[in-house]
Amino acid sequence: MMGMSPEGIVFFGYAFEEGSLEDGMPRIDEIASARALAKGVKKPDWNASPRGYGPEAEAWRQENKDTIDAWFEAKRAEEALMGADVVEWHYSGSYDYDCGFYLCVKSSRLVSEWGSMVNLSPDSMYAHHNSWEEALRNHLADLDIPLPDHCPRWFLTSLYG
Amino acid sequence: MGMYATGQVFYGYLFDEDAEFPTDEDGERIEEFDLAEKILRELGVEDPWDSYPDTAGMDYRAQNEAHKVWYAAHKAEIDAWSSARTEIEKDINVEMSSFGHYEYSRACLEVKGTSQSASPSYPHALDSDFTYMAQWKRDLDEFLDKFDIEPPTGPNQPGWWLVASYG
Repeated sequence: MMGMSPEGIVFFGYAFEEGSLEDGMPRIDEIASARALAKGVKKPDWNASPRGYGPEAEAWRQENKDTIDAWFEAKRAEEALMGADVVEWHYSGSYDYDCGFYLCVKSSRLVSEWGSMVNLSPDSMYAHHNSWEEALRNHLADLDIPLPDHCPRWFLTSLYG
Repeated sequence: MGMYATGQVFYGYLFDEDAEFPTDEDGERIEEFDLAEKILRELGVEDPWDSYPDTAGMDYRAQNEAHKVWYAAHKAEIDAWSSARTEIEKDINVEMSSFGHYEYSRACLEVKGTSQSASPSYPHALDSDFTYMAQWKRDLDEFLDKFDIEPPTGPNQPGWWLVASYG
């Protein structure tokens, strides 16, 4: 634990217990990749890339620039379609044990690091609930995850950061 | 390390680390701001424990005996004082608190019932929407006035705060 300090976190969203979803916490990056591939976007052949950052690797990147750019653009587009520019997933709890995970509105997630305090201004805390709830619902629907049996709400958690 | 990370939210005033608090007649910083006791003293009701005998230097048996004798003689007085104190405390909606640990601690004055905390585990559902009642600020300011404590300055004071500490 040396060098680690506590963090307090609030977020607006849904909490999921460990094991509540068959595949665990959704990996948005992997899902976006799979969807881009399914649409016929060519994935760069990373295995063919020379290792490191030397001239050879740079030459390979320049040679494959169009493919690489198109791939990341397609992934970003897929993530945006899922609403991942508004919501995000996090593991909860400590590094030592599993305590589930949660889906939250990015802008609602506030972190107080050790020695700092976060002012939870009412204006920023509840001004956009309707759009937040819609973003959360749409994201879960897009991933075919049933809505939890509770409404999205504010949660408090902590971890060693 | 044997310590946990704790996240906490509360509504109230958050004091700077170097905030100055009133001192007693010996110049020592007052550690406990006991509003119920202060109100009772203002009403002329003295704390019966003030007359507890000085048993320093006695052996354990003598201390025990002195305590029994004194307590029996003052039991009715103590019970009445405790009942009065309990009644007064029902109307006190704020309390001094602190967070942090021995190396770093910050004082706060919070509205009772607004403080919630969570350890690193499954997230704790908050029964709060970070709204507040106008009466809360009046209660907080009344407490500060009673003890001549300067209110902290800064944005949104008093307000909802998120802090982290070693639990």
